[in-house]
Amino acid sequence: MNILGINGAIGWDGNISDFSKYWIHGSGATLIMNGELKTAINEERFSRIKYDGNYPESSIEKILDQNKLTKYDIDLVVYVGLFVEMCFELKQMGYFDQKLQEYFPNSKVEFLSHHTAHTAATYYTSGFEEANVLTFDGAGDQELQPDGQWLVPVLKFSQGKDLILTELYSDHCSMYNHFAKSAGGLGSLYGYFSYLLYNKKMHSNKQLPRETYPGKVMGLAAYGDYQNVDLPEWFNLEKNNVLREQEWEECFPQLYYVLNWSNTIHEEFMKFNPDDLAAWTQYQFEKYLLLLLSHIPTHMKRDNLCLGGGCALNILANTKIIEQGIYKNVHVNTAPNDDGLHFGAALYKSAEYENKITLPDDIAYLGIPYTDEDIEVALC
Amino acid sequence: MNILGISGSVGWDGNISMFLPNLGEAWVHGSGAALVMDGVLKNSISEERFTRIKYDGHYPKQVIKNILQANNLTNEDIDIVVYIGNCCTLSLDLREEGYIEEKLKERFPNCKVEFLSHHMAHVAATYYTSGFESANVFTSDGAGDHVKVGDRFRVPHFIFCKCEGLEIKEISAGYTNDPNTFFGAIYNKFAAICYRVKMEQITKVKSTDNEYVASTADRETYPGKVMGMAAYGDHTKIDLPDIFVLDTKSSIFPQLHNNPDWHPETGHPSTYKDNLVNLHPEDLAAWSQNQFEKYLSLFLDNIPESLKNDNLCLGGGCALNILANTKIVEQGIYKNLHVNTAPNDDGLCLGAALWATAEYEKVRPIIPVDVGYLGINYSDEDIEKAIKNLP
Repeated sequence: MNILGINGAIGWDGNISDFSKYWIHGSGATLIMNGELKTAINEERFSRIKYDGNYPESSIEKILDQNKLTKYDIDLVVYVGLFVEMCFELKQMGYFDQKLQEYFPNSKVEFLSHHTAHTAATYYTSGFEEANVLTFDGAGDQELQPDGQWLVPVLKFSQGKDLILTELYSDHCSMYNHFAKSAGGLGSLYGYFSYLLYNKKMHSNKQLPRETYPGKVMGLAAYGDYQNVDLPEWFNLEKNNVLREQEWEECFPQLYYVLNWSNTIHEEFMKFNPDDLAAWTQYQFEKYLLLLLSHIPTHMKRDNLCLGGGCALNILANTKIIEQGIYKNVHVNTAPNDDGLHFGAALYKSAEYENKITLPDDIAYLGIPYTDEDIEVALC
Repeated sequence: MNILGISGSVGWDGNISMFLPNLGEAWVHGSGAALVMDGVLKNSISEERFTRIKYDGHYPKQVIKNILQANNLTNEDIDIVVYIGNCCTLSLDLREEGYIEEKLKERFPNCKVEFLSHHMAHVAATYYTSGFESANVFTSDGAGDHVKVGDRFRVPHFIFCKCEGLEIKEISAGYTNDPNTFFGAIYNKFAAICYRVKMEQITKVKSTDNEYVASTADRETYPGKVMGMAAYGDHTKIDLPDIFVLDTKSSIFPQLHNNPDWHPETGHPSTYKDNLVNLHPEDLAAWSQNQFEKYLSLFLDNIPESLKNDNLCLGGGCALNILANTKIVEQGIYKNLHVNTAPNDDGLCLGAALWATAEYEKVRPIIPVDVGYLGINYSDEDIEKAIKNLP
């Protein structure tokens, strides 16, 4: 069975930049043949457009070429979306279904939610038999809630055991306002602050792609001191117990906003030195991530942790988890952010349909190999 | 000066044949391009001729390639690009964000990008091809594109202009969402009902309820079919209140308002959709055609003498209604009537290019004698080659 995981804009230009209705990033494709992970590439490698969000046409072409397949050989296509409205609406309308069926005539088309793809990407590459999986980022894609509402998950905590993933807890924000939510906004707050202080540091108003800021700010944090910043804390940690089957059971800890960050605090924030602010932002992020993880109820907790989603790129915070001994082993996959979405989707469906996953040893190198002759031709 | 008029989607798939609940309409139709070189109209082609997709709304890539090739030009030679949008929220959004301008600049590096409103393009297309020294121009259709009126965007569905020489002067315009919805949308509404009911009778397959409302993709198809069907029915057999009320008192320009009897909640029960589908579709088609003709004639007849001219140019999708057009001349409301070859949205690109010619070159564009044939010429050799390649 040949499974193709895809992320990217179908039917519009995914690089219409930085207005949230249309922008897609990290498009690419992954091929799994009979449970064996073959190739995974991001479109930006070919198009040379950073964070390219267009349909991964050349990636798919190259992948099929490399594995001597045609589009007729694909049995299952899994599409993962982002939270942008255009993506959501076209998916709801059945447009993606129709188009993907056109592109791959003999295949079945399935959709996978954003955070499930992140979860799968990190868990199935970890090699752990049993583990907790935490994925968190700015925003996932819309998921239908039991009460009929469409909400956007920002944090998901699951348990993986023998290739089976079970969701234990998930935290959502509303579809249109990422700040008007009660909890879990580690990713969006980090993103928001890094955007503000990057522009302050660089004295510019130039709009960069959203994905750029956090990484730069994590580096800047080393130059500042968080104690110089006198601002309120990000969150309140709350732990409630629920009555389940006549016994009180510990619940997953929840983070609640202390303040409405989008209003007055903005000016207050801009008074401080950007280096110190970066250190403070990083400190707050670490503090609440560690608090969250150390308050995980014992019945949910396992020895191993897999991290995924854009926030798992925060290597400083990841290190602290092991240093403080909250988890024994921590695994982060190679592309925990949205670049790895298609990869996770293909892995998830492979586990579902084939019950096995074979990973290559050099898991970070999933691109197309080039022979000496290819290089010679290119140089000539 | 080389002027290129373009209509089509830039940045998304214009053939998404759906209405998106939050993002609004994404469907574009009749995309194409027209080239005017030094005031001479050279080519004007719709993309559907090359892609063979009916009403194709994509960016007219192949048309532009072929037109430039036929005239020995390259992308760098284009001086002005005029872009026309449809009644499509995506097109408005991306235009406002500067995305469309940026993309067009990328494709035509030396050009100036202009945006022209939908109805102005219709006006230019019909007036500049008419040969009249001066004329009244009336264009109407289902909906134009978003035009900023005051501080908000509105969508016009008709426009009446007085033209003289090069000058086009807008006299009156009607906007959708006004209480008085005009011909295009109303005609479409009846066309959708007639078509669906007739098809039910033929195929014996029951339509689901919401199919009675013209969906975006079918919107362009129904009216033509219904105009044909009207010949088989008798409008006197239908006992329904008139759709419009003509109001000549409130201003010097005649106003058409919706008849309150047609209000979906408080109107006359016989006008409810559930009752309309029980009527004979042929008779209903004849009746809606009759209403269309009656009020178009009434409207044009009541135009004040001070604005009136002997010549009338019609444009917009409604100008495809040949029966109504004929009546205007028969009844002597106007002496001369002109309708250009593609009055509907297929002719938008043509109008855009003609408008820019008048605007920038200050001359009336020179129209070839065979104005109905603006495509690419194929020589005998081309045809021979194509035939030989047939399987």
